[in-house]
Amino acid sequence: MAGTASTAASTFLHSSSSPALKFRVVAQCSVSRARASVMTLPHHTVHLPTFMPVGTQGTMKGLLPQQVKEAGAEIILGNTYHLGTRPGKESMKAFGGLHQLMGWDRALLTDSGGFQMVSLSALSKVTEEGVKFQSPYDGTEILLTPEESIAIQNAIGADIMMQLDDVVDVMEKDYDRFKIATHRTTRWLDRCIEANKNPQRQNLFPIVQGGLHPDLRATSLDQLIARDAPGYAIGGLSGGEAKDQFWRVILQCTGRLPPSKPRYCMGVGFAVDLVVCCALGADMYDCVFPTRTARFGCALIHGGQLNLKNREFAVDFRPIDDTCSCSTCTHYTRAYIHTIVTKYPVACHLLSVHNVAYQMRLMDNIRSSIIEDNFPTFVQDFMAGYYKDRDYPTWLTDALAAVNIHLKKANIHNQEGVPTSAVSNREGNINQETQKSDKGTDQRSDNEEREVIKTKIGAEALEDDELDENDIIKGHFWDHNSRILKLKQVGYKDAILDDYPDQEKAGQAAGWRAALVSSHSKTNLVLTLSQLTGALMALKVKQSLTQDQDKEVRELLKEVEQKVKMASQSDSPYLLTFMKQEIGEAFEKEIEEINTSHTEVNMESGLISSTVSDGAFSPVSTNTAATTMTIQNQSLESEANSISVLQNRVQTLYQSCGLDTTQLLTTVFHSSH
Amino acid sequence: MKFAVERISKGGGRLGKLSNLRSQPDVIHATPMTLVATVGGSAPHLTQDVFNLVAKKDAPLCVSAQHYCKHVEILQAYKKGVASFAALKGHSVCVTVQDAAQVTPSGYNDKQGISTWTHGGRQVLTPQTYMNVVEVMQPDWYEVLCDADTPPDASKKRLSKSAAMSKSYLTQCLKLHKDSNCLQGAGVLIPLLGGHSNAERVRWSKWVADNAQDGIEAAGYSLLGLHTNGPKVEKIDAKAVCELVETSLGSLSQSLPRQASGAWNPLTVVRLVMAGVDIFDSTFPYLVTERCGALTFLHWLTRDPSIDNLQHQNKRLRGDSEKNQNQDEEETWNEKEKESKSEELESTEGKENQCDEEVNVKSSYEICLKDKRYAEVQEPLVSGCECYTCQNFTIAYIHHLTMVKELLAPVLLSIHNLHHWFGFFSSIRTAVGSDQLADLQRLLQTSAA
Repeated sequence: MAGTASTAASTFLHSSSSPALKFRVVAQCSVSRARASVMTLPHHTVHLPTFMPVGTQGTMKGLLPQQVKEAGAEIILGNTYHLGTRPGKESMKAFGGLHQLMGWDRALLTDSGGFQMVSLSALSKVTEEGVKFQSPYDGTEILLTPEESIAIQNAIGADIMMQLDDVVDVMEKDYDRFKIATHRTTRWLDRCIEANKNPQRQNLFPIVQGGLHPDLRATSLDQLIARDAPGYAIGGLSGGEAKDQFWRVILQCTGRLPPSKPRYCMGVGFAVDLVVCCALGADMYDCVFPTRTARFGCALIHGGQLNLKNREFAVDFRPIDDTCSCSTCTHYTRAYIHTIVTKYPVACHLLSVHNVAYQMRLMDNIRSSIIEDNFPTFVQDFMAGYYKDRDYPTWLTDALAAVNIHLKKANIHNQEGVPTSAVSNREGNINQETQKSDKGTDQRSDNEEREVIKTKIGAEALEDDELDENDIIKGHFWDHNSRILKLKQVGYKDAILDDYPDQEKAGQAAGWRAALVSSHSKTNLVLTLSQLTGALMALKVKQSLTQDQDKEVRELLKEVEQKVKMASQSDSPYLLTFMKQEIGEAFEKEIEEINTSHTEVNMESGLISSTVSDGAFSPVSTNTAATTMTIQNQSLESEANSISVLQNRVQTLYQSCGLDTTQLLTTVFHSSH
Repeated sequence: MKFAVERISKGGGRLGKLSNLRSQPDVIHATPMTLVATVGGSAPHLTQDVFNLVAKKDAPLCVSAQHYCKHVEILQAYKKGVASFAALKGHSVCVTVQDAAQVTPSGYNDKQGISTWTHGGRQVLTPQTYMNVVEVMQPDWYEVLCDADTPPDASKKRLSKSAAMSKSYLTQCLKLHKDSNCLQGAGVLIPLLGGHSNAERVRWSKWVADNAQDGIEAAGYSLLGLHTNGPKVEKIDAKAVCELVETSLGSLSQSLPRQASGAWNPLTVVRLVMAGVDIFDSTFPYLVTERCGALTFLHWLTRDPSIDNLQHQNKRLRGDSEKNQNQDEEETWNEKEKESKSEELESTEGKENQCDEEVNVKSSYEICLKDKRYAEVQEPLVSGCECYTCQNFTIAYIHHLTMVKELLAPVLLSIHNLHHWFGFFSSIRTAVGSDQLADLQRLLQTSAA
């Protein structure tokens, strides 16, 4: 086996004629498609496969460039959309590019900005000319053409630029829409190539499109490969499609893309996915997940993540991961981070450092196992450690089997790969379950982007709802991420993370409330109320209601609002502190907004608890909540009863609109019974 | 903890050496000095590796009991003290009761104890609970619990109550100190109280002096009761405070170090040094960071303030004066046209004015990074500044980070502001050493004017 690898290593593959990129495969796995390679870019030589941490607005979430380097990152990603808005193209030019501005001397990749346009703005329109959308900053209409995207990216000066592509939601059902997008993406690529003013220093990567349709993917591959680009990206995935479909597309693409060029698999960042995609032959990945989860107080470890807010870490004086050599694990204990997590920014920095280092170490391990040609063994050990019960999902075994790596099922007792992890069973289980049950949506929220979670409103979202209601019943609300994802599925829309700090804060506060209430009681009224609002809002936005129905919606909304107000007057310290301050005001505003903008609800303004919160710091700490929250079960019970009356009315309303809401209702209403 | 006065300057102020700290037996700290204010044990916004880009590995920290009174069990189990817990081993620690950056609400102290505010709400510290916190934090020196809730407008009754309760706390704390094994070797700072009343301060200091013979082992004095913390402290009238400080110190031993925590502005710091204060903290630069400011005030007497520096300073001042001019113009314009205000003009003027006010610097020692005029300035915050921030980043970048509310903005500002603050204290020591403190005061006055 080793012999094969070294033969492969001696094969020198010539990359495209791009003067700005040299690519060399160092080792090819003798079993799977995995390969280790070296990509030389104008600013840095990058060792592949690699993970690219996302530095959206010209910084890596509070880390100094030096810290990012120490964590092992060789190439990071910047967002054209954000940087094109602030500081703007002209300023960027004046600064001499992003490298110069942010003091980053390694490689840099920028996306095209198109994705943000489509996902940030509910009112975007794609025409042959480009993407037209309303700026979420000031509401003005903006047109992003391929030429403009490249002009901004030229100003930013990244080593690798991405073409503007026609992004279609992977869940879109219309084949023709994908067909148009596939061909348009190629036409736009030609315009991007034409527009690139700096091909000597900046590479332009095309993006393979075609949704989940093999024929369209094949067409896209044909057309793009013919353009002899320096490298290729696989796009249009990680949008909530089934894993089983996801890996097949990757397999198809890596099978066709020239082996002599780097392959960038967009929006992938979960450990398992990274390992699988490497096996399938992809080389580059990006995801906001490591830094985002850090802001929620979570640290990545093998087999899942530690939520350092949990009390069990209060007197745990071990590092997050004693096999990790990052500066956080070298110097800090779990207990210390526990005392400051979600209270002070330092906690966020510490976890970001660790999480980026974790990703980079994983990629390093993948890379060295490929070079030593024991990648298949690495994968087997890794998966055995990750799925401690060895109950591998089918897509995983299938995907790996497609490249000749076979996972041994549970009956084989090889405990080698199982780390003596410090995670307690409880914690480990929660994380694994969450990860499994939320797979589809997790992908959507965490991978696809670049600080955005895709909007899915109302009943439509519920149709493909993969939500495991058991999860809600079990009350795993401590997991912040999963809770928000659940809210999302019942008609909630999303905000642009970091762009709407107030909404983020409100959302986070809602998260805390939900988490704390559910931990104290089976009843979670806040969640129920907010879910009801969501369901009603969804109805209002999505359906053309009759006058009567409209009236009923308004009435219901009012009553829910009243509930909140009433609760705020009761003497329950929980209700008093939280509902009055946090929900009450935001709610009033929200209602006002709905009433004024009847048809076009501003999708980005943020519903109270609908907002996905990713702000670094909750205004409310665990401690506050825990002490303040002595909930009187009795008053809660009577509240629950009156709320269930409201629930029934919503149910009737949904039925009168002819919507099949069984799933919604079980989801929404289970949480309160 | 040992302290020796090295030199009493003719121009006011004194140079001293603080040594024999129990966690740093071999380190000597030159005074006047600043402690590093912390939140949750860390320098605000800075992880230990980044903190060490700006602070020496042995820089003393100021950690408030306020931040740790909810974590006593954790520290108890940890056993190695708060510096080590916060990954800042090697740094010495002074424990104070309250975090000087946060306003301490008035009117919550009673016979039971002192109120402090944590993330979990109000906590009452009795002498016993406070000393428990201090024990597990393992400081090199600490403030004794006292009732310092004596704002300038405090009534006579409040002052005498504060004194009575503080006496009781002090006696109890000192007894607990004697009985504690963990605290042997830790220095005790005796609070100097009396609010804003000279008579009260004299009375308190006399009591302290009298009781010194009864075996109160003071390692130093802490000037308290001058304010109730928070950003307002920088606005306090320096002259009045210095008088009060001098009153307090008058009858007491010259050989002990005097500490005055709080967000004193640079000019007040210099005046307090003149009045004989030795130890301060970095609350002021911290609060400047929190409002997106960068310290730019001049404090170099001996070092030739480089031409660049002056240029930069001039630029700022010019900007300021332009603004002032605008305001002046506007005022006259307002007077003339008050009655016939054209709506159009008013709205635009109004907006600009609003903008200006929003970005207005909060003190004359800093620039505000929210100000649009820095959007294209490709220079460091202070030309010639040797801090990590100024060596690597431009004003324009920090402005960008500030505008998009990225977490890196306060990180970079913290580094610069701490560096500037340390530099300021180094200038103070030089000035005291060469009897030039008055010159430094003048420099601050002119550049802040």
